[in-house]
Amino acid sequence: MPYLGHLSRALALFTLSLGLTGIARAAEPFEAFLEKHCIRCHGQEKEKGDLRFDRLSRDFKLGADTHHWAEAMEQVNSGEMPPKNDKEPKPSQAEMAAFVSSLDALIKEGRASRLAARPPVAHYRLSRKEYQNTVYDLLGVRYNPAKPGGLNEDTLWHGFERIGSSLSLSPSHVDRYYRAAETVLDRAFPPAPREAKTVRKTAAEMHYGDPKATQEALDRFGIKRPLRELLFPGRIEPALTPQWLGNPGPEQSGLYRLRLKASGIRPPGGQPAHLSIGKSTGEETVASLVEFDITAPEDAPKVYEFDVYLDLPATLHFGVVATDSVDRRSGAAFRNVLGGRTYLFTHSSENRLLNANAPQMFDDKGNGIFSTVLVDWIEWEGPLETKAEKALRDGVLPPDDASPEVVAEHLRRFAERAWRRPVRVEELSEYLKAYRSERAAGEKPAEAYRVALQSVLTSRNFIYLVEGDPTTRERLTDWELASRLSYFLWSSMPDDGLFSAAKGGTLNGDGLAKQIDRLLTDQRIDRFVDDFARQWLQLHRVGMFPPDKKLYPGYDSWLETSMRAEAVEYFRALFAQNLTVDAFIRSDWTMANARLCDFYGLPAPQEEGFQRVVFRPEHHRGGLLTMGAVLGLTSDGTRHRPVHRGVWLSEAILGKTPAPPPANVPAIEPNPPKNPKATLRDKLAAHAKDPNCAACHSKIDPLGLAWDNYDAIGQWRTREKVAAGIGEDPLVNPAGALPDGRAFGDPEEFKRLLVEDRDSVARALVEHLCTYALRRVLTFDDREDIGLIVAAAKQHDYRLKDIVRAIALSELMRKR
Amino acid sequence: MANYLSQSWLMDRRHALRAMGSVIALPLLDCMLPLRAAENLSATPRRSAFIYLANGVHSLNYQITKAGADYQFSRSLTPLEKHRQSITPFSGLYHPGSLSHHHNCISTWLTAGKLGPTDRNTISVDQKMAELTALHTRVSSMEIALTQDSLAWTADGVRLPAMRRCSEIFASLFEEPKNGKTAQRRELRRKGSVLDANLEEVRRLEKKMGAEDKGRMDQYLTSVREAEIRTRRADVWLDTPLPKISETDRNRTNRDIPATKAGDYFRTVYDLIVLAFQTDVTRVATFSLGGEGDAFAIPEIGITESRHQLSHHGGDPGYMEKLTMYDTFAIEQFSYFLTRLAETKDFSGKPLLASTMSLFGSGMSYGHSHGNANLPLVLAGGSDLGLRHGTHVDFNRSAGNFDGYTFGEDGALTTAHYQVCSRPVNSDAHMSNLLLLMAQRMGVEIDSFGDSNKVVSL
Repeated sequence: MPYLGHLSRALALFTLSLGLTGIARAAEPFEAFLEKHCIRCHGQEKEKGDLRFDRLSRDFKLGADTHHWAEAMEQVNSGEMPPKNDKEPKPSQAEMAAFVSSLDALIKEGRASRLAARPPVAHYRLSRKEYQNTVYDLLGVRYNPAKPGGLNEDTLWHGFERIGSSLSLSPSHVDRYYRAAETVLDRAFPPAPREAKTVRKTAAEMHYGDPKATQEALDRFGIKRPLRELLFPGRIEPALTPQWLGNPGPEQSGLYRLRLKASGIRPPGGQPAHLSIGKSTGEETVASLVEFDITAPEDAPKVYEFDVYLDLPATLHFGVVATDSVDRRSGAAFRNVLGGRTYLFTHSSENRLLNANAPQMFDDKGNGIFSTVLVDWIEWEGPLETKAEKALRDGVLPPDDASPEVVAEHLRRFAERAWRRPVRVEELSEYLKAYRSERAAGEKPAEAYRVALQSVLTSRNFIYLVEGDPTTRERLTDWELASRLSYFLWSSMPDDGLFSAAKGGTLNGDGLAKQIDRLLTDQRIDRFVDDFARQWLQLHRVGMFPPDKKLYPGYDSWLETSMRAEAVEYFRALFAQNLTVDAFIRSDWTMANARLCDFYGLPAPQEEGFQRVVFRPEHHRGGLLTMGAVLGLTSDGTRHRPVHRGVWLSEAILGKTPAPPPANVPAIEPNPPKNPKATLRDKLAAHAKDPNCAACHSKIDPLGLAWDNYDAIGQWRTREKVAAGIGEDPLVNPAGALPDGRAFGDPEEFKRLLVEDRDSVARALVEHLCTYALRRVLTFDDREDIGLIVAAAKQHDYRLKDIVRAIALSELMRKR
Repeated sequence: MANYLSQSWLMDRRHALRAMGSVIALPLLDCMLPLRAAENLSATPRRSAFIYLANGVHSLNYQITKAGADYQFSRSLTPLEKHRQSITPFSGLYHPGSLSHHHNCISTWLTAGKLGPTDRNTISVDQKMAELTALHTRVSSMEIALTQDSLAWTADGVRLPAMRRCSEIFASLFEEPKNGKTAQRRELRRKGSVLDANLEEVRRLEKKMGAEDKGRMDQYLTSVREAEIRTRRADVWLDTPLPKISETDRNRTNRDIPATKAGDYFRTVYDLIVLAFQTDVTRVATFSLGGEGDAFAIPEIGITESRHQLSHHGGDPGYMEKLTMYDTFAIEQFSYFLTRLAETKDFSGKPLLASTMSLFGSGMSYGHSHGNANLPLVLAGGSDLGLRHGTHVDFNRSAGNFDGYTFGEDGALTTAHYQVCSRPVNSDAHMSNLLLLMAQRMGVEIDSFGDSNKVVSL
């Protein structure tokens, strides 16, 4: 089929589901197969197992008989049917494979149409992130629905958090939306005004008791340097207590600025000092609110600054994250001495002098033994609110003595912004009735009005994006388009500019282009980068199976966080510089922080945070496919998983989902301890000898085996570590051939072949972006619109920002 | 054993029922129930608990190989030996819908549903039971998962959120409403107003739409309506005082336990379930000891690896030994739960074990290669509900094509057993048949559940 372009050559047998399902409309081998091999026993003459293929519905879109068809596919796929003792000759492997893949395509196409079905009025629920952004843009309120007791987790569809048909609602969701709206309104309209205050604690105040005795000790040794707090891995220390802020209640919750003067000690050959601040987990570690590498050396401490949301009252702790922590050496006694109030610290050069009998943290040459952080002081300032945030609440509440008309008008204006469309007062009659009945129950006007506001925020009009009218129409209104664009590019509601464009009827032609360019350059585009990159690449899977501590001692939570961030930051850089899709596949640079540079074997970076770093060939990196996050998310914590890697690559990069494995797969038995060690590849090869498995695995496996040089956390290797068996660990063999026969010898050659298939990679990306923007699965009916977008993007060499722009401008975006 | 139920609470409860008039109380509650079958109220409360162990077991040390009444306990099931007459181990059951779905088996363990891009999960059996028991209890059901997700799903195929921390569980069961009854009543009234407004608005639109497919609107409508009913039900319960929990029990259960103390954590959650059943705050509980991805390590017995890692042992004898130790440890804590149920009496003075069915097990059998057949399952208790225990019910052996378990020269099961754990021997032995049995014994009037084909008889 010409529509498939290059890809049909590369992956002809893949059936499609993530992208345009059913493009491979290969119905016919399937009827012939039924006629030849099935109908005799499941037809007019016989009706074995109460199943007649001639009577099953071929309307896969309606899906009435899908379960029977799926069963049939399953039976053939697993070799159960047609039966062996049949008089007729068994179908050939190729015939069975063709039958299974064409039936699978039909079933998937049917499913996709059902997933994409749009009733006259379609409701697409906001994801948690979108809810968070929307309440911020609506009322200037910071509310994090991912915290315990917040909103329920979104259901994912291949990593996407916002596919309308997957996001359902239960009574528990309703309860949580109710509570969320309550919290949001409490924060927007606190009972008493909040005033920001600043509290600073020095190391001496935070950590050391009895100032007089401490000073005497320092004087005795003639030490002039001020005290510092020495933080070491394996013990946590307070970073904020309720007392410091004057025992605030929950109403003082809000955004706080945290400033910290600190430096770090990195032991020779060890990790950079990494500080984490958050709630104690009860195991001498903290659940980070913020975490960062401290690269400032002991003699040149730096002031670090972060904005964090604090739910008060809160007790927070410092924790130093390192894979080598003090508890491993000498246990609790050691830690207690070091963390005690009488262990004084000023400078590494004075450490032995001050604590002659205590365990030493520095060697003879003054080098640190552990990664440690030295804190001079910490400062908390807040709660902070900007003028812009406060301005969003102006005029939301009517005056206490307002007439019913004025109350209604206030509510109407608020609902119009909250529901992202024009609202008539009549539509609010139930909400105003709630206000009146609360007044009648004796509530004060402000309290009664809160009930009306809360109803607006729990309404279907707020928690869903609503598209359509009771009478069916094909295209979006300008208001609906405004929301679709803003949720695509900002993960939030439209701003005033977009609202006025919708109201003024200028969301078309140049007016539309102007708005889109404004959206693309606004700072809020970062939300698109964060959300799309995470969902497209399925980064939620990173660390889902925590790596085995014994096999991967170098893996820790900071490395995991850094890996996840690398993929997003790389996407951000490509987007900002408008680079071509080739860079997703192959490049000689990435965005890394100190921890990742360490992991990849690069020199320590000059600056803090993520920055562009350059690879040389011996690093074996560059592009998404050899990033720690991607290699790790397809592994299971113990082993790399070539088949999962192949499936991931096929879905995310090529937009194709391979057919599912049959249910009755025989078990893979563990390697007998007395056999020679074998790679996973060898074991898979044995598995794939089964002709039932071979048909699919020969297509999927090469895409994953190409990365066998990378272990379960993405470290480069040439030998595979095997637990059981005798002899040496076997050598890795990453070579293989694509289904079209093009051979590759190693990961770099594979990347080169993939770059040749740039059209397919770009098309897959367009499809993923459209799925994200439209909040639904694509179908065969979308193929022409997708084709137009791909053509437009190709004119700009498939540059990333141009692709996004082409989608925003497309006809498809205007369609329901 | 401490007397959890002070006499005064019993008086209060009777008093409350009398005050409301037990005759009018039931119809009142009834009318609040949406679309639900009429209640078949029995004298003895019926209760169910479901406990999930992720990643299967080390099958070679778990499998009981002899069927019937004179079976011998396997190594990892030994801690249950003292409850022999109160338990039934099952072999050979499986969920057709979870074959080849690897770790997703946890999602269908109690639903017997299908998994796939458009296959929405179906209601879990505990929620089916809760539809009935919620009429009588303050809390309709409790969902606990120490890591990752709960086991419970609504009729719309939406997963219910889980509680993790013991203090959180305790608060959900026994905590006095904030700021007293009046404030709470006002709170509920305001919530009712909000939900009412939302409902009315949708109903008005619904009228305009006619009978065609309303998509998500129906779901919104049922969910808001159900939430509203719960709000009203909560209001009624405000007049019934909370059960009094003794100081000892409060101190023992209302505390947070770090994940590093798995045994204490497991037992305290079991204690909370016992306490909830005993005080009749709820009659249905699901408890996942941990998700498929990161069930706890158990440092107290020297296991520092997550359960998932151990299950992918790759034939490593050390890992297989640790997996067996883990299985045994988890089964020992389950045995503790049964002991507690046996020695604790509910307000009618009968041991809880007799009125409580507990299902312990996994949706996986052979973790190393994600074998989802021959599920490890043990059903316990519920003699007052007519369950007769004491035998090993083996659906493998009852299959015509089964050649028996394969033993090596040392008398132990060979690795050929892994095939039994991966491909069902007896294709008719659906686990839903067991879930159906439990539902029926709870009084749920259904003839089938999920893909059931025949109720398990016991």
